[in-house]
Amino acid sequence: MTVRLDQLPPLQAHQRLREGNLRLAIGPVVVSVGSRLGEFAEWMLQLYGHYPVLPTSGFSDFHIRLERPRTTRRWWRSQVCFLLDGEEPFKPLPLSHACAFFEWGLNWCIAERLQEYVIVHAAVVERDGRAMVLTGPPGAGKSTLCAGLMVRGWRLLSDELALLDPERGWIQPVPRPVGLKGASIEVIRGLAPQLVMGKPIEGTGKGTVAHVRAPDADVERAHEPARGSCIVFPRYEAGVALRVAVREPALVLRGLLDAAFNHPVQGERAVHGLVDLVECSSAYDVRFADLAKACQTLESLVTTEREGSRALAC
Amino acid sequence: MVTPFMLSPAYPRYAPGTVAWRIPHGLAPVFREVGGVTVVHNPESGDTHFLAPAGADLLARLASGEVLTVDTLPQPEFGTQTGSGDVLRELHLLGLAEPFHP
Repeated sequence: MTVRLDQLPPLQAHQRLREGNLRLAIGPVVVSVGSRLGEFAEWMLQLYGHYPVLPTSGFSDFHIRLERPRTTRRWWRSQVCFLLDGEEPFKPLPLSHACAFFEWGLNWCIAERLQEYVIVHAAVVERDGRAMVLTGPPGAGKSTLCAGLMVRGWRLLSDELALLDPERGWIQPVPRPVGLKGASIEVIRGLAPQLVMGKPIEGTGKGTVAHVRAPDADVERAHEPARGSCIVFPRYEAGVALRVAVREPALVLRGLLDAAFNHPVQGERAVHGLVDLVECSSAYDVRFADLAKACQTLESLVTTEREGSRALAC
Repeated sequence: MVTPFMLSPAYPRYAPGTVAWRIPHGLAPVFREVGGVTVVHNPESGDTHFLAPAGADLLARLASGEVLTVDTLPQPEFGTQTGSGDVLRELHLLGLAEPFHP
């Protein structure tokens, strides 16, 4: 029987975190997490409380520890270090950024090490087995749209990294907290006050960030992949009217190649996988300011396509 | 006599007929069609390029093992700016074609 983190006795959960053997199953990866930081422990329980905890012994893809440095910065202008398998791949950040550091560091680990997938910088949501890939540069509104669709009942597959299995044409879920920045934090809080959101972290390199807990059902369904059927290139611009335009397939592929982290490493496999994804998906450029309207329009576009394909199948 | 200038990628633009073109040894580019555009992946460099129809046709001929010379190249149509020499030079810059002296 699978045990969730929030089902462990709190003392045991904290102890395992301190000892670095809190092994969490996050989609296709197993992460051993360790830290003696109290605030980080609380944040983990709040945002990862519903993730399956695995026994202490066994293979973990990543061993991550977040600790204070062993220098004067342990006490003076306190910092936090991100340790991956005992190595420190990044410079320390202010202690108050520990939770965001964990998320960013884990993104990097997945993008760097999960080479069986073609990894695209994109959020992915799914409904009725059809995945919608939201890709674009940072600040384009991917996570905001993703959270908006999640609130409307779409299943969260990923907020940051689309893991495409090029042979099977599936997108592998890796549901994790949705990272929101700046004004989008209040937008999502206003839209769905029932969502569990971590404490906003101010003054990071990306401004103020906050993370929304992934829905329980989506974490439980983390082993159910979905097929891509729609690719969206969102662009948030304050005050603009909603504009949706069909994107040409070659430009869609160009956008995906630009957003793919490991396309040169995967080579031919990535090209075939991404071209197959483009061929079986509709694609849109969406310029928006009003989140609710954008979500509604995307939903109706996907519904129309689904009904169209059903009619063709009949 | 072969001068350094003759070996430069720019040479065939000025003296067509003296240089032939072939696919670099061992290179097997990957082709896919996307919405009427040819996408080619160079497995040596790891780069992926989008080719216009003229470039895609020439690269397909090179990839099939054909050696292209001025006699076998399509002649530019009246009024077009880009001749086959320019297309081949572009393919050369992408590492997908190489000039040589037969």
